[in-house]
Amino acid sequence: MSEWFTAWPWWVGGPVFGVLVVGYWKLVGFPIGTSGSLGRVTDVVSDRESAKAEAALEDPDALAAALRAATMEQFGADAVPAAGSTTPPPAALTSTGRPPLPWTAHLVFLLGMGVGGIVATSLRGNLQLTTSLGQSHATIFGTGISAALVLLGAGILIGFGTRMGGGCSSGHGLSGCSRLQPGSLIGTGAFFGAAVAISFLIERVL
Amino acid sequence: MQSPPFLRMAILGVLFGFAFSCMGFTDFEEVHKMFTFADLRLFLTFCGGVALSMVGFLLLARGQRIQRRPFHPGTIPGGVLFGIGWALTGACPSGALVQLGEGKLIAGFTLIGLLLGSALYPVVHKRIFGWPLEVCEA
Repeated sequence: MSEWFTAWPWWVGGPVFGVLVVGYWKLVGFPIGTSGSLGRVTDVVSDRESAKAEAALEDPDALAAALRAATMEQFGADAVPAAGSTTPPPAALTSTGRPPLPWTAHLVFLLGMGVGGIVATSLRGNLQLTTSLGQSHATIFGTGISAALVLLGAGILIGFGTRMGGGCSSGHGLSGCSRLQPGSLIGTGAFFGAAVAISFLIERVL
Repeated sequence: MQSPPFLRMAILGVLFGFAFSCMGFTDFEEVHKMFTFADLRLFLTFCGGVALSMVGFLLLARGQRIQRRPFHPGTIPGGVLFGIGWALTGACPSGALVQLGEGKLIAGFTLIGLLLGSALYPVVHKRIFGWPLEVCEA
């Protein structure tokens, strides 16, 4: 039965992608984007201001309290009416009218992906720990420290590039292209083109 | 306040990771064959996904405003950097997480790099680039 979970033909994988992409949007309220979710998680460490601002937007009371405190600091306590006498501003909503998700929900989504990998590999009956990405990767990049350094450096390119470009293969590629978003069509062309060029270069040189 | 949809996000994550693994998007060799056009299966899977999503959005999202993805000065250079990384690792951001789940421990290096790059970007953006970022409605 393990062949059921291996190398799905395109006419199975394509529709599954379609259902997941549209289903994600229906259930969550904004389009899928793995690099976006990763960014929400790493912003908690590296971009605390934005992370705090987004957290505040999710809780209107906290936002109102923060604004009141900042006003008091600037203009003195007299400038601020007593707490509770003002109407708190409405929470920022996503385009579907739902509040944005906390970063922890994005983290749960990312961890879920790892669990999905465990489930699929278990059903294929080959769940085991390996230190290689497969024979051809080992042939090209070697094993051990050299392969690890290439992956680390390439990982930095992926993390930096997806945030600079505003999306990855899920956000730009699947979700953005299917809605004919100009940034996504150009972005997908850019990352796909670069990947094709590098892959042919690897074939030639290594 | 509505409780955060952790359960929904967990289920979607697992389903996405599971499908990703079954398709073969986590296999360096398969991804490399896609980029060298030696095997069109994954490429057609991707195109099929775009086509089906398009139908789904056309049917279900009529008249609704969804997060827009405008072109900005980072779109092309960012995409190129990501493409280079994808070709070298066989992993897009989702792929790195699923590879690790599959027991490919070495993908942990990809993931560490991903987190570093993702954390580094807003710092570099503020100091050097400074163009307005797209409005993130997520």
